[in-house]
Amino acid sequence: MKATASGISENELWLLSFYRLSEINGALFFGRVARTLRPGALQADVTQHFSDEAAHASYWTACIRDLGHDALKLGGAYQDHYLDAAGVPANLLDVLAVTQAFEKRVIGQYHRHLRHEGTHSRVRQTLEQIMRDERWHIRYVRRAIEQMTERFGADAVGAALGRFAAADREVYARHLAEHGERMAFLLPDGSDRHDTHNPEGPT
Amino acid sequence: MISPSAAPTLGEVVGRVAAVTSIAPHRLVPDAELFALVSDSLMLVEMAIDLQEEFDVILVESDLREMRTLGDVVDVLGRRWEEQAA
Repeated sequence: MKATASGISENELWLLSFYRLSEINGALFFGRVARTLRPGALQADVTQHFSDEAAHASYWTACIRDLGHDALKLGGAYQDHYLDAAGVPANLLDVLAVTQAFEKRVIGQYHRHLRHEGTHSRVRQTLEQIMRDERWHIRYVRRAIEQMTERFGADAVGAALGRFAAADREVYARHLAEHGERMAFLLPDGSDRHDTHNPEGPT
Repeated sequence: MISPSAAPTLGEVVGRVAAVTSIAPHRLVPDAELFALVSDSLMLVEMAIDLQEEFDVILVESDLREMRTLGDVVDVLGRRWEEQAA
């Protein structure tokens, strides 16, 4: 696998740019949801979530630039595939259910990237910074879903969580089929693990 | 939030849809096609959540599929409001 001048591979540059795009799309989504919500705790939490996603996009942009690159301009949005797989979220419970499925997927992916021994220290710093927020996202969404059980009913909550968890598996499988080669370096036997990285960061 | 003492009227729904879509209210007639009013799926989600938060009703996925025109939106919201207020 060809490495870039900074020591991150072309695939890792693509992946970091993909993370950035996903965070931007998340911010756009939560911004829209935040402005529809009634005054209250969930409004405050979703607004913070919107702000976090925008900040994360900025962190990735800075990280990529610190590594000597500009973020790649990528098309499409990973989140849109959830709508294809499970339909448009019809209510607030659906929005929270798709958020929970997506946030779990994100934190799993960021964990995988962090565990990869060749991960650059600057990338590692960014992952750790973002994951602190991601853990809170999962906590507040879980709490909000629990609080919705009374309004929507346990059956509807279970159905929504199941529907979007299934969509998440479908979307991720489709993503791997399309872009798995880009992410193969994170696997324990990743074939394009390059030797040019500098775990101490850029010099 | 509008006090949910009655089912949402066309005028109230037009007010909310205009706020979300930035389309002039006079263009929001009952037979206006919903997908001509929203630019993408995210705007549809925003509009659906906004209407539910405003009128204190819950919509489900099949409701969204049923909503083809603005008049349909008013009808579905009214039906759900009656069911859920009962």
